[in-house]
Order: sequence, then structure tokens, then C-alpha cells
Amino acid sequence: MSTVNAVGISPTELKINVEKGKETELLKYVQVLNSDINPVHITATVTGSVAQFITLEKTEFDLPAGPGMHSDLASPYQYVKVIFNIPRELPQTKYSGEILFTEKTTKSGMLTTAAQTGVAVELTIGKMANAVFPMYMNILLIILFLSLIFSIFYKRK
Amino acid sequence: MVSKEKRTILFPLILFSVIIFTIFVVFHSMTSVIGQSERGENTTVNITIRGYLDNIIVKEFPVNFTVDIGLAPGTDNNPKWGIPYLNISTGKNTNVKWNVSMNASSMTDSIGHFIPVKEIKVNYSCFTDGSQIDFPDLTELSYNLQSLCGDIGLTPDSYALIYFYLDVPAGQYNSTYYGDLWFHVNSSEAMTGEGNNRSWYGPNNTTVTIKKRIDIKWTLTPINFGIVNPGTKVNATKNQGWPTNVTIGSATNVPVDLYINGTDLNGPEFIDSQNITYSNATSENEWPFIHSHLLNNTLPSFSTKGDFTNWGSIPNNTDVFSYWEMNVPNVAGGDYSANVIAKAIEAGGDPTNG
Repeated sequence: MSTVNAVGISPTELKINVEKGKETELLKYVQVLNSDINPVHITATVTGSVAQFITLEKTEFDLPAGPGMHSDLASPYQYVKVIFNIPRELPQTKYSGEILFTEKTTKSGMLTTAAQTGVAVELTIGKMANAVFPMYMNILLIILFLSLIFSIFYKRK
Repeated sequence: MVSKEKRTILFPLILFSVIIFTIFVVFHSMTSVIGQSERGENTTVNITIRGYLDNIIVKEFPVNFTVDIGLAPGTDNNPKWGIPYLNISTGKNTNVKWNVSMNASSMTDSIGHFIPVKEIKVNYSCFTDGSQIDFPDLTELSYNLQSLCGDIGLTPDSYALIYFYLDVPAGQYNSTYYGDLWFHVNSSEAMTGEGNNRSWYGPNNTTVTIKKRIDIKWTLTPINFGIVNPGTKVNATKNQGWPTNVTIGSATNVPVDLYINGTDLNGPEFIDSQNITYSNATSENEWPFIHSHLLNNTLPSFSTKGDFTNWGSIPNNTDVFSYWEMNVPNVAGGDYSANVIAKAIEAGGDPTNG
């Protein structure tokens, strides 16, 4: 009795760039698809140094039967939300890893087999974010400065 | 004599009085004329108000099918992203029934790949005479004009909401595509010539980004070696490792590298995974084959372009066979098992990507 393992993903990579010193929350999506003619059960895991910043909306789910691996018809799919939580205190560096999607046979055998593919993830913490000083603060400072000068001269008189 | 101060007060007063008096006289004379007319003979006023089709108004464009990071090839009915429809109406001066039709072009990228226009589909709701008429069946678009909202037409101050869907063909190239849209409204009740039809042209108004997709399937598994004697070398059971078949699906739109790794075998004792060998032989006749690998626990930490030469840059719609063999060590009898993973990644990538 042989079994089938199948899984499909899109995209195959996620490249994230954020500025250093900026707390960032990002939401991305991965489409997980099944072309095989049998329903599949998918598990998702995150590996590598980037894993500490990633939360997956779901890590285990089913996909219905698809049209066949050699078919050009459409495949059923689910979106998996990928949430990045990047703290502000990270140094300027790169983190990498993978979001792995695996379909593992549940039939017993001497060598249990699994089909796997992954989304390569690269997170780059870039240069320090430029602080934008609000215009109203500039105006307030000018007023404060002028008031100070005026009061000094007024006292001297 | 009037003093200077008094003159400055009097002049504006006099001027104001004169203006008020003039307005009164004019108004009175007009009402007198109307009064006389009402008392006199009836007159017929002939006036022809022409049917007028005001300008076409299109809202909620462009039609972007891209969901944040793009769509996978080999998926159907992907809706317009964001506000799901596009709104068609005419200006407020329209006083005739009008019909709406549309056409579109194929979507192309900058290097000549294209998504045929028939992959763009619409259904629509028409709001006319204060009621909503839905047309839920999907209609394929084409370069030819496609009439919407049936023959009933839309009354003045009405509109149509058009919902867009895109089927992305399997294997569609990873790129960003753009296409054109046209809308046309016309009315047989409006004055002829340029006044009875209006058009709207939206260049590059349909757009989608197609992302990379990989599909892998492993068949003729699990891998079984049956009941074996210690100290022997055995092939896997027929069609359970002798061979196995990895398929890269037709929806895949990038070349793929294929790698295999596995755990040690657990049972009454421990068997190192490297007692298992797999080969890229494409038929039984090629076994024993010089190209074979011991089963490792880990994947290489850099690209080796697949485990074998013919396992690198595999195109879509390809079957890859492998044959499995085991050196059975002198261990205690019993059932042994391990997990083996076939991993497909985009060609040239790092298989561990850690």
C-alpha cells in the first residue's frame, strides 16, 4: 500500500526591510496549495534566526483534493497569515530562516516519508530611522526663543 | 446749508433709498405683466427638451488583483483586491435610459509574457428604477464589446457595480502584468451624434503580480525494506522505495532543486541513517548506479544544486525517480522506523536557509 505526500506554496521567498530603532508589526500572506488528487494535511514550522520574530496564524490545516500534479486546472488553497513583530532595539543586521510546509504520510512504514517545501525569509534591519521633527515644534521653539530675547532686553531697560 | 458731517450720512441713505425704490418698481411691473397675462388669453409655449446622456463616471479603479504580496499561478476566481467592484454611472444631467458595455485587453508584462483576456471575468449588479438586479454568472471578458445589465437599460441617476475575478493559469511566469479596460455607455433616446454615446479608457487599469510557486508530490512511499536478515544488503520493496517518484507539479513556475534527508532508524536498537542509500537511477536497469548518496540527517548548508546533477533546476511537470537500498547491520530483531523528507526549493537556493 503506497501513499502520497504533496504540498505547494507561493511565494517562495519573503524579503523584509525595516529601519533600525523602529518597532514594526508587519502582516504577510503565504498561499499554501494542493495540486494532488488526494486531500492533504499540512503542518507549518518556522526555522532559523528569524523565527523569534514570526508568528503563524495557523500551523496545521487540511486542504481538499486538487486537480492532479500534471493538470493545468486550479488548485485549492488557504492563506496563512505571517505576522512579523520586530522590536526597536535590534542592531543593524540580517536574520534569515524558513517557513516550512510539510505534508507527512500518516501510514506506517519503515521509512515514513514527507514532502516539504519552504518560504525563504530574510529580515534586514537597516539604518537608524530619521526622526522627523514636527513643524509646530519648530514654531514653538522660535516663539520661545524670541520671548526669551525680548524679556532679557526688557529687563535691562 | 448742510454741514459736511451731515452730508456724509445723508448720501449713503439717499443712495440706498434709490436702489430700494428701483427694485420695487421693477418687481411691481413684472408682477403686473404676469397678472395681465393670467387674466388674458392662454398661450401655448412649445419647447423640446432633448434626450441627453451626460458623461460616463467610473469609480473604484484600477482593478488590482494582487493580494499584498501577489497571487499564485494555478488559482481561480481571485477577486479584485480592496473594494471588490468598479462603479459605472453617468452624470446627473442624464435624462434618458442608457446601456453599458465593456471590453478589455490581455494583461502583459514588460518582457512579453501575457495573461489572456479571457482569464478576467466579471459579474455585476445593476441598480435601476430604484431596484437591484443581480447577474451572478461569471462572464469572460474579451477584446470585443460585452454588454452588461441586459437589455433593460439603466434609468437616469442609476449605476452598475461590476465585480472582477482573475483566473491565473498554472505555470504563469512570476512577474507583474498590466492590461487596459474600456467602458462605453450609449442611449437610443439621446440626441444622435457624439451625444448618444460616451467612452472611458483606462490604460493599465487591470494589474496583478504573480508570485513564484513550487508544488511537490512524493509517491510510491513509504519506503519499506520488508523483513530482512542482519548483515545483508537489500533493495526496498517494489513500488515502496523501488522506486519512489517525486513530481514537480505543472503549476510550479520556477526551476527547482531537490534534496533528501532523514532521521536515524529507531527500534529495539539504533541504526545510523547512513546505512541507507538512495540513487537517482531512472530505471531498475541502471541499478547499481554510481550516483548514489548515503541518507544524511541534515541538508547541506549551501546550494549544491540538488542531491544529484539531474535533481538541480528541475522544470515543472517533471517526475524524478529514486531507488533505495539498505545495509542491514547486526542489530536486535524488531521493527525499525525513521522519517525521510524530500524537500523542493527554488533552484540555486540554500536548502537550509538558516
